[in-house]
Amino acid sequence: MLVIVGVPLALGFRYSMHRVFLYDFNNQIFKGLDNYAYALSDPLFIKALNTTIIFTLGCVATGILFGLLVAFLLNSRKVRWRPFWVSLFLIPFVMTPVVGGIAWRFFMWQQEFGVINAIGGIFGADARYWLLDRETALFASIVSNSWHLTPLSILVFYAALSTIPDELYDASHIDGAGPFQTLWYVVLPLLRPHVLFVSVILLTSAFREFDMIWALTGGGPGRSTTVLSILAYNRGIANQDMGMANTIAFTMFAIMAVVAWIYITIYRRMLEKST
Amino acid sequence: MIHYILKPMSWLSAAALISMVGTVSAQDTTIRWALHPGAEADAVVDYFAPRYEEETGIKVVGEILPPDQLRDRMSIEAIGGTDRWDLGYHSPGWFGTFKDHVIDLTQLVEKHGFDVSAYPALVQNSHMKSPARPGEIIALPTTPAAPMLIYRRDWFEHPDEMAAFEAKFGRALAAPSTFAELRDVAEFFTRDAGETLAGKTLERSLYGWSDALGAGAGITRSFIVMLYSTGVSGWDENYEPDIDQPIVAEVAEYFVDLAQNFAPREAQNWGFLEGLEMFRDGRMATATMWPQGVGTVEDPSGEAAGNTAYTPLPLWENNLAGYTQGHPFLGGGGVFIFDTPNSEEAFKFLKWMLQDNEVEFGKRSLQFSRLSHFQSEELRNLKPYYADFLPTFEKVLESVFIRQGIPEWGAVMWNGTTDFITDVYSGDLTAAQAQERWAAQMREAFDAAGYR
Repeated sequence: MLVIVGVPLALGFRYSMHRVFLYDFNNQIFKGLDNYAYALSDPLFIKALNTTIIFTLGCVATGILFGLLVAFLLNSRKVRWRPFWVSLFLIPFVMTPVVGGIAWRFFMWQQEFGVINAIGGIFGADARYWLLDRETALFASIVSNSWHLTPLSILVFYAALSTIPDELYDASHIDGAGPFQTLWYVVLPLLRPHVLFVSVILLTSAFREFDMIWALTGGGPGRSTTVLSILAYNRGIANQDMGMANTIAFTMFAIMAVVAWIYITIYRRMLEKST
Repeated sequence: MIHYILKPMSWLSAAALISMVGTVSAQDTTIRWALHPGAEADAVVDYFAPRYEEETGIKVVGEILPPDQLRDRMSIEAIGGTDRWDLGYHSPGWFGTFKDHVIDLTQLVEKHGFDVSAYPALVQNSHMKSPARPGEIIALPTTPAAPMLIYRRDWFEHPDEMAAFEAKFGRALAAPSTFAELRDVAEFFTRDAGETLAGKTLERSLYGWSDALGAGAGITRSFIVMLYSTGVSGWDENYEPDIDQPIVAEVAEYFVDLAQNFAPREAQNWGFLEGLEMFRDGRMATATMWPQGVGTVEDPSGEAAGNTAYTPLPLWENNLAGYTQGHPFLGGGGVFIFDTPNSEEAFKFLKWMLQDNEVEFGKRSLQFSRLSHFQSEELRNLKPYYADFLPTFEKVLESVFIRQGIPEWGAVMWNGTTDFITDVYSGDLTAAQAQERWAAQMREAFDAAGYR
């Protein structure tokens, strides 16, 4: 564990405190916290951080919402061929993000022949350049990545729902609750720990997402979809500035560590409360 | 008696053994080359490598890498000392990056009679030398290239278009000789579907100009061509940046206007030559074209074949260096030899391909850089459009910017340009803000390298 996790972390932290360029790798100059100070004052880093937050929250919200909805529908007694539907909804999750990204780029969002514009056309909407327009590229990226992440929440919520005894549904039905009232007043309170668990997984996954966005937009147009992971890649690989790339990566790690700690603390308290 | 018989026999056996060892060693030698995709890479893999193996027994393996991975993978292998490749292709702007890993070719050039003077002086300076290894020859040119402007001759010569242009702009419709004229031409030809062009109704929209505008390398390459035409060099002899001058903001605003108003939106997906297919299909009136794209433009199945005219890039008026035509950087690339046990064999292969088979290399790679390429009647008559294209390309090569080749060039100039034009194009920063940031980064890099 120490070798697998500790050594790369220590190396990354060390590089983040140095000026390290790939073309001059042996000439590493200690900079202390200067790289961090520079990053935090750099408008591009701040913009990438904002984009990352919007992207992450968008993916978490969409993943939870659709995950709950689909799991709730799948759990309905009226659903036939349940294993088929569960398998179908899991396909995006087993697909490599970069392949999913390419598929969405060329088949879904493509302006002339894409499915989205074809559907929009039926309702009289103008064909849009979804991935080439600064106004819509981030939205399109969130939708595509949510498509990839939602199956995980479907799986967890469906498993959790299947443990809720039928008597509870029957009781709420007798009390006159409709499906959405049952969901809101009966099911959701029981699923709260699972929602928290899924949101941590989706949050950490979306926060560090690279492949899907890279395949969709490459971080563009302009910098409208440049999230922190893409910024770090651009600094480290394109610019060969491994010092700054590690500073960005380590900042991401620190942010995620804090967020995960908050989540775990809340999760623990919630479990203690319920027991 | 036996001694007299055995002695020559033993010499013969020794000679046979040495020759066998030589043969085994030649047969065992494999030269590995990291290549950039393109016609030249195909020529190496499909033609020159098999032929060289037939002639010498030495195997040449060309590994074609994705363009955006070539430098990084070669850097990583070189830093790791893996000897994975004996030869590496790259653009001269990045030669300095490999300064610690490639050999000086000067002695091999002399030993094997490689004629350096067969290349124009600018190509020698750009594609063979580097300030990172002063006084040495560190690469051989394979694909020196610089872009030109192409336009639809048939539309420019159409009487209706000529009359309409003259009525609108008060001068004759002609190949643009300045960037200001290029903007007029681009505006004039940008039309929606349903409008008329050269007496015909357009089924799809027509664009006045384009180049690749994709994030990263696409937009950087397109813009830096115009940037150097303003006469800036990036920095002066004292390593003081000159990219913070007002002319740089002017060219950035010009570029953004041209790209956002007269180029197709799809161009934001193009990394290099992809957009020339739209020119080929009759959907663009002018385009910036790197020579590697001429085959696409003149594809016989397209509308532009036989109707394309070639001219050097237009002049940036009042440029700081007094250039008399557009002044793109000299791009394309050269091949250097890594410090591996096969380095001399690798050089011999390069000499055989580039010099001993120079016309064949031009024919098969569609790359022209040696003086003989431009003088060869065989090459000039190879394709119907070469009679126009080759002299224009020769003229383009007379006025090109030679990149400085220091190890920091890629970081401060190429990626600096990427950040600068991305920020201005997207509106995230004003040109002045982006310039200030760029110049500060450049100064910091030069200070750290000890240049200032």
